[in-house]
Amino acid sequence: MKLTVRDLVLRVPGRTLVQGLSLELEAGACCAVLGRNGAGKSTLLHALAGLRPCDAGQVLLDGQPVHGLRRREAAQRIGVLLQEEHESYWGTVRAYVALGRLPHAGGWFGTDEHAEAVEEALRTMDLLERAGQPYRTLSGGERQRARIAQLLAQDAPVLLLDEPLTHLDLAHQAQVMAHCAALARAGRIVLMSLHEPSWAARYCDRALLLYDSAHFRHGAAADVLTRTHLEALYGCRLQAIEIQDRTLLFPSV
Amino acid sequence: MRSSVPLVVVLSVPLALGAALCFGSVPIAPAEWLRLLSGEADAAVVEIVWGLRAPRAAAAFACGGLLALAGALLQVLLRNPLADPYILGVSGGASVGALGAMLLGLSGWAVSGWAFAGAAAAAGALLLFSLRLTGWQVHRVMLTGVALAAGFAAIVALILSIAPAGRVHGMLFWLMGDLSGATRVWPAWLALFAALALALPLARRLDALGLGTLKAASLGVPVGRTQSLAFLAATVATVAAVLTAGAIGFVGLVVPHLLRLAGVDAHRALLPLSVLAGGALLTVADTFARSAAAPLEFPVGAVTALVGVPVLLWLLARTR
Repeated sequence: MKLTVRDLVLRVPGRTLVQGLSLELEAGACCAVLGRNGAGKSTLLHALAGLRPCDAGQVLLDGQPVHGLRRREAAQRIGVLLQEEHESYWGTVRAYVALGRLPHAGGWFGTDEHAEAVEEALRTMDLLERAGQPYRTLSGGERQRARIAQLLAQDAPVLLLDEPLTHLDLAHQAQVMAHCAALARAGRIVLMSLHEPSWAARYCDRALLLYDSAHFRHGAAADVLTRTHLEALYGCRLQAIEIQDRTLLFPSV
Repeated sequence: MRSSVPLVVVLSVPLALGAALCFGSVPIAPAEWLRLLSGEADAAVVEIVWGLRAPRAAAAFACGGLLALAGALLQVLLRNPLADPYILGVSGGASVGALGAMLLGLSGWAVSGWAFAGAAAAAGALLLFSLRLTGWQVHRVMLTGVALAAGFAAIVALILSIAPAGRVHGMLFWLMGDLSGATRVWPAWLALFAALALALPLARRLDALGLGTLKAASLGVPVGRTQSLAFLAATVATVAAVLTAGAIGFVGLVVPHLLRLAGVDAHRALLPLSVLAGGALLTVADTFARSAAAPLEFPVGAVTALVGVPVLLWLLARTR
């Protein structure tokens, strides 16, 4: 399996976000996308999932243009964690997570609410105890876990996560990162936008920096996530702290 | 969903229909009922029960089901809990058509024909403006519909102000919703089955659509096609209900909410239960409207509101 991006151009009114991006991710890749607010991380993820058109260039999954797939086929192969969601779901947490099975549902009604994938996803995200509760009674962090669980239940070989760590407590941040890295090792392609370079350095093997100038830098995480590159990316001075042959970077104030 | 909810709704249907046959301006003694069932009753009693009350109950049930179905669909399509079958101005178009026909002194089929033409014109205008020109952005569809509805309301006010006094009463009853003229029942039932057949296969997709169009698309829902089909089903349902009984308020807005508050959330349950509950509610309301102060008749739209408002407030108060 291979996700290929060729000469991709993405524009929003008045601005070019991505200019001529080309990259290739093989099965097993876990890639972090970093950039300042508004650099185009979410737009890029939407384009890779086929949820918005490309202004030029192509996104190919195993040589097949993603934008030519039917919606349901695309959703069977590419799962997306969106950054924002319209919050008015009336059902239970389990029913919410089971919506992730929608691309796989066979009949008109598609009622596999208790499918093994759903239970497994609930367990992975520590939501089994909350499964019978209405979704709207969850806290912000629990909702984020439910969204990730829904994505896991979707069981797509390509996972695109837009800021998966939003609202999560420290333990669950670590858990989500470890789980994503494990999914990649098991042969999936994982691409996630992050705001925390140290999580990216620890769990991702590739990194993509999106600069405000619509340029980009892509490569092995160890080569890309250096202090110099990140200072240029964020436009602020960083301070390095060395701990057990790891380098943590913080803004120096 | 509490498992008792579907049972209560399903049981309410025969009770409502039974009540519609039993009550009316002419009291029927229990002994008469026995003779009716064994086929030895008076011709007059047979005519009252099967010739007058039964078709009217069938019309009321179909209209209530149609309105509740349209309401449930529009609430998820527009992602707005205040959406009701009249929000998009389709019924306003029907009102202008019907009142225009009455102003010209037409009656019967002609009024229905004009109302249908008005509804079709309104739906066409809505499709043209909101789908063609703005690509189905939810708030734009809704604003377009609200603008159309306001325009139609103005025309209705104009017609009422210039209409001869003798015709105003009939016009007001048409506007408030009135089942006394609903003698042809089959078009409403046909529309009910057509709208259900269109909408039910979309049930799971509508669950996802409630989370937003981008989210639904990411879950594999063909968003444009689903929205168009659901909109078509809602329009068919609204037009059929309005043509049968005028613009009866409240059923379409409140019945889906009653069910959601009772814990029914998935559309594969919500849509059929809305049809049954809406049908039962309107049947009971109409039975009350024509028998409480017989031979006077209340406008059934007022009765649906009087029955529904306390129930909704009670449910709102006891659920969190």
